[in-house]
Amino acid sequence: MTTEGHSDARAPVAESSPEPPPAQRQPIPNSRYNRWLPIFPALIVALVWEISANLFFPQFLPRPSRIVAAIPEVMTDPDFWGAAIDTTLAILEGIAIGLILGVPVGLILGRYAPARWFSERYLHALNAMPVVAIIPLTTLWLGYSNTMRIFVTALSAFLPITIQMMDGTRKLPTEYLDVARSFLARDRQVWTGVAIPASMPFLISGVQIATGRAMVTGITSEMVAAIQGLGFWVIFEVRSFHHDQGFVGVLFIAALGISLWRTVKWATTRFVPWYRPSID
Amino acid sequence: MTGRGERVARIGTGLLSVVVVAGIWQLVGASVPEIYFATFTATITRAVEMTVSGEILDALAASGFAFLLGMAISIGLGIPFALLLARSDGLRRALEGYLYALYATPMVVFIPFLFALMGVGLIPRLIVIVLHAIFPIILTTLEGTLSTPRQFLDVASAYGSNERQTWHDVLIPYTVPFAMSGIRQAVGRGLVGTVAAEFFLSATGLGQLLIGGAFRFDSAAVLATTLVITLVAVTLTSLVQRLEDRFTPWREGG
Repeated sequence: MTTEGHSDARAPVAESSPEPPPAQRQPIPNSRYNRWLPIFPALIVALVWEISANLFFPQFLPRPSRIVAAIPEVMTDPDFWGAAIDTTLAILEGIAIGLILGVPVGLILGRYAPARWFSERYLHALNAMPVVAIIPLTTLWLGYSNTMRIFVTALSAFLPITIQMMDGTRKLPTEYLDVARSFLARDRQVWTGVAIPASMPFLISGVQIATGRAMVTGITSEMVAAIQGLGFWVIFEVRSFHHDQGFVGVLFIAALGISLWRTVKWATTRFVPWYRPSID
Repeated sequence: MTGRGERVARIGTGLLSVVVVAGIWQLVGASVPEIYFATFTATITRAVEMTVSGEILDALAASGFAFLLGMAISIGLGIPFALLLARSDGLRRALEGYLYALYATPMVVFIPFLFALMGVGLIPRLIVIVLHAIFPIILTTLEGTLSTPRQFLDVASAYGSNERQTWHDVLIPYTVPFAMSGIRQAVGRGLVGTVAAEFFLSATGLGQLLIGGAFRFDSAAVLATTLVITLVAVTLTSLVQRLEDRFTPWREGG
């Protein structure tokens, strides 16, 4: 979607870089006919779903007509908004903690090789581990609490941010430093003019991965540990046979996921326009 | 300043870190009640017990089967679907927005509905795994095919390549590295899907070992299972990373 341009302003590629190589594709002709095309899949899916649900599925399962009918009810339900606010705040808080801890830790690990040799394997191992697997263990430590949700959300944000920052700081091309030095840049200028801008793409890709993961871990922790939030709200509605209301919650969660992702994308093009586009 | 000196320092620090981390783990474990955090030695003992009793291997087999089957389905459906989308402007225009939306949606929220519809079983778990894994594969593959440089296609057509040859010699080789990076993402997400699905949609598997262990306050079992999951995840990730590196050399060829 956001794949136009920027192809010549390529950033260095990290070992753990999550993106495919730089892409520049041919735009799709934007005719009037094309503009209406995206409506059809939604219509077809809704129709097939509605009909097959009426024919084959138990009465309590959700179907599009009733989901649409349930929207006003859910949108005026204070419990729902309480859950929505709790989840959103927990995710944002987790990402913020991940950033606040991950950026300095990543910088230090990138700059001091011994610190990296000491901790690298653990970071990579934890980063490879699906963070949802740590939820049961965390419930033993922190109980079925908001602290537990923040912990797992922050951990899933911290790991990719730290690793990306570490790789980014490490991979600062020496030519950049040589040029800066030949032009007699001072230390501070090297940092603000070279090192920080050069590591921005890595930070951004760290934040992109972190956002998606924090969201999944946050929602899953609510579902597993029955913590007040959207994940629990959906599972509770489904268990009370309010499937249609529950599905409105799913649509809301999807919208939240998409908006977070879009926000990161927007911030990327706004503040780091030289970042090479990717889908992650 | 020699490379050898650095290697020694690096390996030495690495070994030291193993000792230090295991030591801290042991100390923390010894100073809190065992229901919270078992010691390193207790965890290893439990891991050995669970391996001997077959618990871990059974769970590993159940989870591994679902994961691999889910990945196979995601790759088998995702790549052809991406190529189909690349071929058809109309289809792509119609579906691309939805694909990105689904990519950004945390798929775990569908688990309660799958449970209501199908109960506990392999099929609902496979659906969860595929929902997690398929979208990065489709999107990166599509991106790769669409970003094939115009010049490559021009050269192919100038030399009279037909459709099949263009795909075989230009589009597919250009797309493979993209698809590989999609598969790498898919492996990570597929693991999340596998474990999350087992929390709710399974009576067996590593996810159930975790839930069961936490339920019994058996922190040694939970830690041992987490270790096994981490080992599996690290192995899979480095395997797929190696595959990706293997297919990367020609991707900078533009």
